[in-house]
Amino acid sequence: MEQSTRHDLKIYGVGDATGGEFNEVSINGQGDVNGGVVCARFNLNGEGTVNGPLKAQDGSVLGTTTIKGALEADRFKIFGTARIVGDVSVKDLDIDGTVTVHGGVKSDAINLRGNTKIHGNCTAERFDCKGSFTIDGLLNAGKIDITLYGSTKVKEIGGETIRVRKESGPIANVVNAILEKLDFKQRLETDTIEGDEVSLEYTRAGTVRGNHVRLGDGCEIDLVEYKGTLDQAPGAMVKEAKKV
Amino acid sequence: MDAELISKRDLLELTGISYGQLYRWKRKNLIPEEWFIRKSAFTGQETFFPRERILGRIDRIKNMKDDLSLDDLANMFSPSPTEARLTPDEVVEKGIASRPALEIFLKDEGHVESLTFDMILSAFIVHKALESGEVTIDEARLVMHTLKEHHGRFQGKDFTLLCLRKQGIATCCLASSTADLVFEPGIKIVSRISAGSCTEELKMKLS
Repeated sequence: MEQSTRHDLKIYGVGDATGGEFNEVSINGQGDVNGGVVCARFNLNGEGTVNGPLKAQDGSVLGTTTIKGALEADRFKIFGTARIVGDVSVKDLDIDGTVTVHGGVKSDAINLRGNTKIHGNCTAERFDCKGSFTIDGLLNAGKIDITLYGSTKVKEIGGETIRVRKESGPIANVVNAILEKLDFKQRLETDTIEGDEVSLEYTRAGTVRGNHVRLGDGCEIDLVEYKGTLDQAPGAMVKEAKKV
Repeated sequence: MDAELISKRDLLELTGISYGQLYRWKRKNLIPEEWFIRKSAFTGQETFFPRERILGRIDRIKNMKDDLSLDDLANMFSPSPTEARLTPDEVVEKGIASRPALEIFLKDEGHVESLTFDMILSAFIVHKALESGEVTIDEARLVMHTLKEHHGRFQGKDFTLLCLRKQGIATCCLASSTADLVFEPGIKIVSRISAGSCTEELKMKLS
């Protein structure tokens, strides 16, 4: 499909359009697209709904969007609120806001800030999060780095290096202390964590398995099985630890 | 299927691979999602795998991962057909199917200039059935016919061919790989062939 035969779709203000194949899709204001969209670039500033799947090379949403179908892209950034009623398959995914995915997420690199909810599984090579999220399925990623802001729930976590911690630093420490006092628990809750190098803080888990496991403050683990080493801080509560 | 299972824990210990590797290979589709079987054990929920298949798969991955990229490996293991086409003579020359097995295929199909992957796979499965010594030529014809009729149902997914016999009467069936099948005691399972394993083997023969 030659790019030159595709047109752009641009909405300024309020408008509706039919879906289809485009070069550049740009919605500034409020726009609904009736049908799926295939395009090179997708830019939404404002509010927009795509009533079908969205496939793009590059995309960005600054505002609110609903995509009633799968989202597929090489690069996609969401700053704002998004609801995707389908699977997300984006190589480079950048989210800062509130995003709900009614499906699974498959990525190379995921960067999450804010509040994300994924109903299915989440798969990536790199998973970086400074925020809170809920994943109903399995988080399977090579390198996982989670800085907790609020309560985070994942069914299970598996990967190579897994790190869960709270933001630290003079201001962060004060904020964290206040939040704890107000009973806003900043915790990661999960059934199982399995990895090679696992380093956890403020994590409540049923089972943690790994080669080298470090458990820091705020950990509540029922069972730890480690192949190599276990480094348990005094502030970590472990019911049972086994070297396997 | 009543195949023997191995726990994830035992698997890692036996193969010497790590959790990270297992999860990575799962991400890269080198180990199918269906092979991860959740069962309740006294320690809680535990994950099990079909023993023979997972051990074979991990062995292959370990042997080939230095020569091939993980994506290439994933292609090799997927049940989806490749673009390969062979003439009937080539199928025999490459040691994929014996002449008798191929004849059964051609008798049903008629003269074919070049066989698609699906056709080669059918001939290969029939060849395996005959090779086992447990299946007669007539039963093999039945298998061939069944494969032809219903192969499309399992497109992209793994399935198992079962040849059954009761009181001298032979029949066969195709079952999805996740099905649990239980037969009455009078039935004897004469041959059990996994299409997924055959696909893998065939892809290696063709590469």
